[in-house]
Amino acid sequence: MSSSVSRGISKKRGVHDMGGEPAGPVDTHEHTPTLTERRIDAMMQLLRAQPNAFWRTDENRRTIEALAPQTYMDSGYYEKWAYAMRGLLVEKGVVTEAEVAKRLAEVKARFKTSGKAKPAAKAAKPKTDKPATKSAPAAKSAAKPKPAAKGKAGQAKGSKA
Amino acid sequence: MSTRFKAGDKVVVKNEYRPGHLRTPAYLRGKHGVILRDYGAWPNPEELAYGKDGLPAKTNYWVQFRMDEIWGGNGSYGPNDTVAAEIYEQWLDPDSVSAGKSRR
Repeated sequence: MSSSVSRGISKKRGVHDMGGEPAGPVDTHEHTPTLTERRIDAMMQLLRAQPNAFWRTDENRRTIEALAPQTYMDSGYYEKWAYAMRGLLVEKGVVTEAEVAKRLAEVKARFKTSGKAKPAAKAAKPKTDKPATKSAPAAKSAAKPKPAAKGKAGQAKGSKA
Repeated sequence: MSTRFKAGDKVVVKNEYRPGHLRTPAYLRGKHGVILRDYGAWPNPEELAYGKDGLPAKTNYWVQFRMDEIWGGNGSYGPNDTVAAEIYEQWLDPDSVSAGKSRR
């Protein structure tokens, strides 16, 4: 894997599993979400809306955890969401890889001619450690809600959220 | 699904590393803890992560650990400095070795 990842990642633990790793000070400042971040958030909410959610939060996490370590470390919170959406939409058969690539090419070309903004290069295909796992389509039944509200807030270092 | 542990039971987290979506952080694997609460059974997130139904459900526990053990002497932690985490039953074994000792 990438040797330029600064943290000393054991081969045995995933890049996301960073509890106890040297990290330096944590920036706890709030920031106003950008328009892009708001759009990613909105897309995720639509894709995950019950009763026809395309995937569960566990699948979302699994996809993000499978990003290449350098991609994981270099990407912001919502960038990881964007990677997850792209990966899972293809995995679930909602869109094909070719369709995503074609659409991205169109968007890039449009930005190039309009010159108004930079192309969304970050939306390029994420590198994963392994091919996306083929799995059954998202179950229609609503999953039992998780007990997160009861406990996660009290979880100290190493929270996996 | 029988409930394996009750509040106050001493447990040890399996020191396992395997591929997949694992909900037990590496820093707690192999560490000793005490059951604080039984959160009941939930579809197994390690299965849900791959689009499966997560059944049979697994019991999720609120488990307390001592900071001095977790961080292996890095830092100055007293016996009352603890951290608690949700750990699913498949990651927990009874801590028979420490059962008779004064470990909290």
